[in-house]
Amino acid sequence: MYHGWLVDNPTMLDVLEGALGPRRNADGGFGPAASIASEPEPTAMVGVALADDRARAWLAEHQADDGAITLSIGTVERDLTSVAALALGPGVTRERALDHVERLRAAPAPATALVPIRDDLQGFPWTTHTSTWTEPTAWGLLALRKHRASAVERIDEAVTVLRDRSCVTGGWNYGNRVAFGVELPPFVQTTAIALLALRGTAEDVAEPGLAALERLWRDESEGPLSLATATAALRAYGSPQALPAATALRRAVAQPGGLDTMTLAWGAIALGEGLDRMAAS
Amino acid sequence: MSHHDQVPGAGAGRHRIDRRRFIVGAAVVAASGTGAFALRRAREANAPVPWDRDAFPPPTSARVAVLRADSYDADLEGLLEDGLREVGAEVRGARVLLKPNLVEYDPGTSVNTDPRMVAAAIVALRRLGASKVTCGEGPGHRRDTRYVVDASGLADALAAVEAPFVDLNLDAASIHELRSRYTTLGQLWLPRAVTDADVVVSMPKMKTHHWASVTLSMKNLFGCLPSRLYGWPKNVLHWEGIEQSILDITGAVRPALQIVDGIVGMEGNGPINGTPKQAGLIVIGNDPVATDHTATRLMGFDPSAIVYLDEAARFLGTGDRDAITQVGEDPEPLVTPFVAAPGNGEIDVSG
Repeated sequence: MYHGWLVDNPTMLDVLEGALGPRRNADGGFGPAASIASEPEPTAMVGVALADDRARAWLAEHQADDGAITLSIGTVERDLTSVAALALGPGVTRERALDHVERLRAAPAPATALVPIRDDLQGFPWTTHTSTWTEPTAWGLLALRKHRASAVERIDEAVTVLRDRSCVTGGWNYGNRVAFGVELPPFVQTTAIALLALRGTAEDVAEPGLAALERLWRDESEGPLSLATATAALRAYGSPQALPAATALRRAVAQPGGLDTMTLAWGAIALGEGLDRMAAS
Repeated sequence: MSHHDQVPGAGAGRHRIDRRRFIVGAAVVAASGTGAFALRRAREANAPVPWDRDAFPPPTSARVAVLRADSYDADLEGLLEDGLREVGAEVRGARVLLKPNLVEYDPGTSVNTDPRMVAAAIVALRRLGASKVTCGEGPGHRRDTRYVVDASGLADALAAVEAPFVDLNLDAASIHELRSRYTTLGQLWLPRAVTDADVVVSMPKMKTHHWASVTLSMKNLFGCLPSRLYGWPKNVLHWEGIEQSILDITGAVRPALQIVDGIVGMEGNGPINGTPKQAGLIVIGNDPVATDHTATRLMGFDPSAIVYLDEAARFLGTGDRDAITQVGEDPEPLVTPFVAAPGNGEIDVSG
């Protein structure tokens, strides 16, 4: 759906994809940076960015019996099943992953006067048995809207969570609208991911979110991950600011120091066909 | 030499303080929430200690230097070098990881350790013989670490002293079995930059904290845990109890040195939305408990009333004022009462 937009950016896309290639580990997956063991999240993001079969195979190999694709950190697990479901192609593996995503719920968190949230809602957590946060909820929503539209109740709840957590000025931060009497500001990266998840729905929060992103992305343009995610969301919403954001991203990619795998993958998604596999509609 | 003696070579005007006087007038910060309650239960009579005794031998020589610096334009390199010498910092030939606080970036606030302090510390550590000094942080609220480092001015400060930065959120990590059991985690994943360092220097901002009362060199270590594993924020640590997590993480990382940036701290609604507080202080130590207890007193609070600080003194270091060799300035006239944060002690399970 966005292919024509690539015309202006093929060289940069080549650069990003070329940088990802050598990052691949012998097992077919990707680590968060060069020479680090493969992990589900960067592998899944490369899978989304490049429709990469070896990355998909790595994810399938690491799927648990319950469909989950996680990273164990002792007594808890970082759950990456939502982003993995976006990377996987059609088939049993993806359906089992989506089954898990549909079941996955954050732990209830009590609202307090200091941190007023709707405590009747359960979004998605970063790690098992913990509470709702913006980014994992956006990933869960995105996976279900993209590939499991029948999960109506879970989708509606996740949309409502993002509505509840949207900042007073529009957009999203890690997950608190107000804390200790202070209206907390939105961040570019979290706003962009939430917007991708909400594309085509919840205009009451998506529109102010987009306005916030269009207002903020230049302020955070020192960050290549922020630029890449912003470009992806701006492009998905057809914002006239997508092209200047992509231009800024081009400059950031050219800076010395190298970029981590997630940023490279996000850059490739922002400019390439991976956005088709990412943005809900 | 008793532990009350001055460090040889301490400068003019530096003297041992009367620690009994130092505590007088210190306000009490209530820590009455669930986490604090759980910690207190751990101290009930006959309860087994929640740490391996062989892993935490009794501390021997806690030294803490209190220094004055009215602004970041002061000779920070010289001050920090002197302070580190006075606490007996042993870094010759060592690979040092310097861990400042950059939990997130918000322009115009005092959330972060000042980049000028970080750069000055790097120079000072090199002068003392460190073979390599690396700056590392794993921001807890922001996923785009490059943005935080650049926007905060840290990138420029590090470039000026040609020091590398490691994103602890992305660094290779390995399992570290915990030798204390305040949380149920059992193990922590620690970045290679932390485990490979000969010396970890915790370099916090002097701030109040709405859940932990104060955030200093021990709470600052939350940033050592990779967010790609623990999330943004590292919510599992909140579920396990912030105070319990502070104790287990400190027991795992064991920062040998601490440099507290209290030139401009934060009071009130910290650690993010508080008010800048001109305190004009730098606190340097070789024992995280002694350093944090001293800094807490300088903020006008009683560390024994902050449960995690009190608990830490059982096994992670020295909280007893009489066992801390205090060098540098006389801290008593330097006590600068901070406005306490609201909501101290409540467990943070908010989303």
